This record gives sequence, structure tokens and C-alpha cells, in this order.
Amino acid sequence: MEYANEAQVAEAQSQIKRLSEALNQVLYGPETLIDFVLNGVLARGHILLEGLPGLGKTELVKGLSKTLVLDNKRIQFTPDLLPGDITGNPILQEKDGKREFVFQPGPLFANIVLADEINRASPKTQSALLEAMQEHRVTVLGETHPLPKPFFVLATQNPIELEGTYPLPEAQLDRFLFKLDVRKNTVAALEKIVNQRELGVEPEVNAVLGKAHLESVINTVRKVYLPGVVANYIARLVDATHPGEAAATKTVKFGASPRAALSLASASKARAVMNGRTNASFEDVKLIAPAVLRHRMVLDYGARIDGATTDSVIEELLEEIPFQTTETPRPLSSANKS
Amino acid sequence: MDVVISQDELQLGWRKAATRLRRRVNVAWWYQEITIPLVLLALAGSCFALLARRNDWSLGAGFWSIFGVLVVITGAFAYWRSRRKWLTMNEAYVRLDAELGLRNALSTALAGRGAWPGLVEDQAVVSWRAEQVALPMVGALALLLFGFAIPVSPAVQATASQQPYTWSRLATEVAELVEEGLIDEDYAEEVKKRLEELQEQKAEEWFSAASLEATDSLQQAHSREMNRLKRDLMEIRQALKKAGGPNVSKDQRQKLQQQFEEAMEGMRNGQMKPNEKLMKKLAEAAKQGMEGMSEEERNEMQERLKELADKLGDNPGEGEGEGEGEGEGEGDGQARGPGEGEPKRGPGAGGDLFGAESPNLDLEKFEHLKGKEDKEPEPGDLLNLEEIEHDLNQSKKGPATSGAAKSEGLGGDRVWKDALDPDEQKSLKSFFE
Repeated sequence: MEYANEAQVAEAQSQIKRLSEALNQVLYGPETLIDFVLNGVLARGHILLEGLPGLGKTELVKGLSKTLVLDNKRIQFTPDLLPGDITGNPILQEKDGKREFVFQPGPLFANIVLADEINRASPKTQSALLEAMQEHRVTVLGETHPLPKPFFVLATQNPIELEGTYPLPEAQLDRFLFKLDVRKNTVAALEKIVNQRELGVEPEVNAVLGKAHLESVINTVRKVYLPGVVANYIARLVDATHPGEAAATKTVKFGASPRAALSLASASKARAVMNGRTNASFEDVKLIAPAVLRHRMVLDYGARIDGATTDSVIEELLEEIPFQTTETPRPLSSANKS
Repeated sequence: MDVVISQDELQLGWRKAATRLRRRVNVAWWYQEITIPLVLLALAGSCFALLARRNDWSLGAGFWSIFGVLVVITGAFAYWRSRRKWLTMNEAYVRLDAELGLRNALSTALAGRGAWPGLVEDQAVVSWRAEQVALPMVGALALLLFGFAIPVSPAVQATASQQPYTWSRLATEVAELVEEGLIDEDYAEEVKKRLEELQEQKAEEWFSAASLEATDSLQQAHSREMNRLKRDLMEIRQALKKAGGPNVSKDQRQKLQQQFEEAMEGMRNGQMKPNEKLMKKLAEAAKQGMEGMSEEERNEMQERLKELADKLGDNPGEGEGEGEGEGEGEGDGQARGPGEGEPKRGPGAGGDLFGAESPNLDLEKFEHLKGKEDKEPEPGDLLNLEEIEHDLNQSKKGPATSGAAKSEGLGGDRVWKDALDPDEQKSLKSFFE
């Protein structure tokens, strides 16, 4: 297998940097959030953004679409939205005196799909996304239609106003690479927004990366070297998310799937490129683990009553699981300079 | 100007760092494994040293050689045990990666997938914990030191001086009798053998009841034998003396001869025999008869027998419950005081050890009763008539229901009714009146 060299990684890093700067011009403050979104896109994953209304979730996704010069569609999910509304429908058309069904592609047929308030759609419609997200294709009336490449779903959901919503099933949650919490802006960021933005006017975003460039960067990410010890750390970490496998996960009802391990590997490679390295590292895995694991673990009722969250459990887990498996004998103490 | 370090140099530098780390960790594992056995060994050594000092064993080069060999064996055992946990070179690189925050650059370079990172100045990712290193070693040394420094009194040896006194006294007595040519050596050997049997017991059992009983028995048997021998000797002397007197009839002489021979027979049959020389002389005298002895020989023989009898001394009487005191070793032949010693040995029950001496009723003195008239009263005579007031209960009683069951009362009520003597009852009644 061919691995990415330093030149390729440096080139990819500069492209990503340009992308990040462009996004930061229109979205003030949440640099970490932007980094994670880019991280997710480079790892070819779908992203679920959760946050209160007005925090810029939709703006972020729209800005990303514009900087990437990719075809993007927005679907506002509502309870009466039907699967056909997003996948597309066959329409009866008359052609040369004959009537025939012609497939009319729905909004899923885009490079970036913004699924706004995804939890407002019915389970039936939500499940229509499963095939698209996993296999990058849709099947309507027995006919399969491939989706354009690259294909990303960036969904948003509101953690309040849960009345009339349908929580996403575990199977669908598992298909999101990251679940990102969108937090409120700082005072400085708010001040910047007030000074530089106007209500009702969309910010102008420069197109930075074309489709070909993006694919090139993604290709570089795929060629990043994942050391065996890092793969081992990922495996131990994912295994420890299961109940009884670690002290931190005693209150976990269901742990993360193998897909989570693949996601960690892929996302850590992307993070390595973002940091200009040719290899993924323990630190990359540790950094992205909360975003990858938080929606894949289910806590038991008792833990939820006690106020525990998946984030707090993951934090404990990351403290508990060491990077390497060798122990330190009692007469020695670890300096831990990392 | 930056110094450019080649990849080979970097690789070498990191290899050295990994080797150093590996060595340190592996030595620490070995040290961890040896700690407990070493402390246990030191403890055992310390105990042995204490034991040796107590029993006055030599603790020279032999002890230290064996201790050294055991330390080496313990070290080898710890080496074997710790090997399972030893760090490999690859693990050392990973450890350096993780601890120095190298973002797995070493693992990548080692796999040939990337360049070796620049050397870090401070590569010590683990450091010795002084207390963990020093404590077991100091503890082991302290234990050993205690073994040699704690004051130990030598073990209390059961020495001859702590044996029952009777044994040594008996042995001395018998030896003296043999030395003075009084008794036969066979008897001395027999006594010695029995004494040795007693001494072969465990020292803590020398003063047990059984042992003292056996000692007493031996002592009494010895006393009996001495008394018997003395008696026989004295009888022979008596016979000789009487035979040498004036006007001894033939019958008397025969009786004396018979007395002589019976005494000789007694000596032959007894366990304690006079020594061979004396026995031979007496046998010759018995054979030729007292008549065949000259006056001078008879006197000489009498003197000799008296001397021997005196040497046998006064011994306690047999069968009188008299003997030496238990553990006292005093063979003075004095009888015990009443109530002392074991019932079997003592002369009987104790006297009035507790309480006042009973009054002397003087039962020996009889006093005859005298009647009013000056004549001796006969059995059945009326001696006296007297008017006395009956001790009636004069206290007033309230009305009582006819037919009610009489309560005998409980507690205090019952006590004054049943348990008090008449005087006390009277006092009590008058108090309530």
C-alpha cells in the first residue's frame, strides 16, 4: 500500500488551511467546530450538528458548500415529509407518444446535503437516508440510482422543542461520523458578528477548493499511515466502551460498534493531515474520540438519573485507557511529558 | 546556524534512548520482583541470627556464605519472574512516543513510513521513586541488623545444678560408699543406671510429679537398703560381741552363730551388698565359726563392723511416709509437718489451720449431779420445778376475716418468721410495736 509522503501531506494541509480561513471569515468564533466539520468532511463522513436555534449551524454548512464549490441542497425536515420527497420520484411523462416513468432525482442528489432539523421527519423518511448515507445510492421502485461523489450529509437537530420530533434510531446515528455540539458564541465572537454582519443578508463566501482538489486531499488522507500501536489503541478504546470492559463504562448500556473504530481510524488520519503529519497518532484519536463516540453509546437509566452524560463517560474512559499497554513497575514513576 | 543531523544519527540517538529506557524499566521490574523475597530472606536471616545468638551457635563465614547464595538464588528467581514483563525495544519506542508527545513519529519511523523526529533533550520518561527503591532495601538491612543488634539472653540450659537435688545427692552418696569400700560396685552401677534413666527425660519433665515420684521411690529404696545393710552389720557385730563375753553357753553360742549366718544371708540376698573384700572376710568368719576366732580378731572385726555401720549413718525409717520434700532435695529424714506434701507422702490430714482452736471440753472430768435432797439422784427423779413466763406474742392484731388463707409471707416477712432466732424475733416485734 502506498502511503502519503510529506510533500503530499503538506500540500493537503495548505489546502485545508485555506478552506478553514475562508470559513472563519464568515463564521466567527467556533474555530474548533469548523475544524471538526472539515475533519469530518476529509474523513468522508456525515456530520450531525446539535445545538440551539440561531447558533449558525445552517450557516456553517452553507458556508462549507460554497467554499468547496460543490453542489449542495438543503432539506427542511418536517413530520409530513415523505421518503420520495428526498430521494426523488418517478414521474409519468409522455415521450414520443408513449407514457413512461422517468425518475426525477430528489434533493439527496447533491454533493453536500443539509438535512435541517432531521429529527422532525418521521422514522420512515429518516430511514430513507440510511441507504444514501451508507452506500451512497438510493433505490426507488426497484431501481438503484448512485449519488454524486463526494456525498456528505450534514444534519442539524435541536436539543429542545422535542415535541413532535422523532429521535434518530441508533442505526442511523451510527452512520454519522461525528456528532458535534454547537455551543453558544463568546462575547468577542458576538461582537464581531454584530459589527460585520447584517440581519437577512447572507455573507459572501469565497470558493476555495474545487471538487477535484477536495478529492485529491481526501485521497491523501486515505494514504496516511496508521501505526499498529494506534490501531491497537483504537481497538482497546472502542472495546472499552462496552459495559463491563472498563471502570468508566460501568453505566453504559450499549457500547460503540466496529464502525466507530473505522470512523476513529479515518478521522484520526484526517486530523493528522490537518496537522501536517504523515501518520496518525494516539493524540489524534484522543482528540476526536468524543465526537465519534458520544452518539454511539447509550447510558443506562440510573446513570442518566445521576446526571451522567456520554461526554463525561468518554472523558473518564480516555483517562483510563492508556496509549500503550506496557505497565510501569512500582519503583519507577512516569514523567508523562506529552 | 542550525546543525543538520542526519537520519542515521537520529535513528542511533533514539535507539540509545529506547535502550536506556528499556534497561531502566527492566531493572525496575527485576527490583520489584526481588523486593518481597529479599525482605523475607532478610527476615528469615534475622530470625536465624537471633536463634543462633540465643543458642550460642557460630555465625561466621558459613552463615554469610549461605545467605549470599540465597540472595543470588532469589535474584535469579526474580530475573526469571520479571522477564515476562520486560519491555521490548519496540515497546520502548512506543513508550517514548507516548510519554514525550512525539505523535507516534518514532513508531512511524521505525516502520519506515516517516522520518525520525529530532532528538529531545530530556529523554527520561521514567524516573526512580526513591521511597520505593530505598524502603525495601532499608527494611531488609534493618531486619538483618535487628537480628544482630537486639539483645538476646542465652537460652536457659537445663544444667546439672537445676536437676532435682536428690539425684546428685544420691549419686554422691553411692559413690562415697563405693569409694570407702563399703558396698559392692554392682549396686552403685544399678543406682547410676536408674538415675541416668531419670536424667534422660526432657528437662522440663524433671520436676514433674511422675519424675519426683520415681526419685522418691529410688531414694526410699536406697535408704531401705542402707538400713538393712546397717542392721545386718550391727547384728553380726552384736553376735560377735556376745560370743566373746564370759559364761556363754553352747546353746547361746549356737544361737549367736545362727544369728550371724542369717545376717550374712540377708546381706547376700540384699541389693546393696558389702564390698567383696568385706564379704569374703565375713564369709570366712562364718565358715570357721565364731569359736575359731581369737579374741583379738573378734575385737578387730567388731571395730571394723562398727566403723562401717557408722559410715552408713542414720537413715530415714522406711514406710513412715517420710522422705525428702518435693523439689527441695533435702534428705534430712525429718517428717513433714501436718498438711504438707501430697496425701500419699504426708503423715495425714492437716491440723487446725483455719479458725479458732476448739474449746477443751474436758470430757475426762465427770461431775455428778446433785439433787435437792442430800442423796444421789436416781434416773427419772425430778430435779427442779420453776415458774417461767411463756414467750407469747403480745402485739395487737386487727380484725381478720374468718376462713382467710394464712399467708406465710414472702421476703423479709418470712425471714423474721422462720429464719430469726427467738431473741431476734423478739427484738423485731418490739421494734414494730
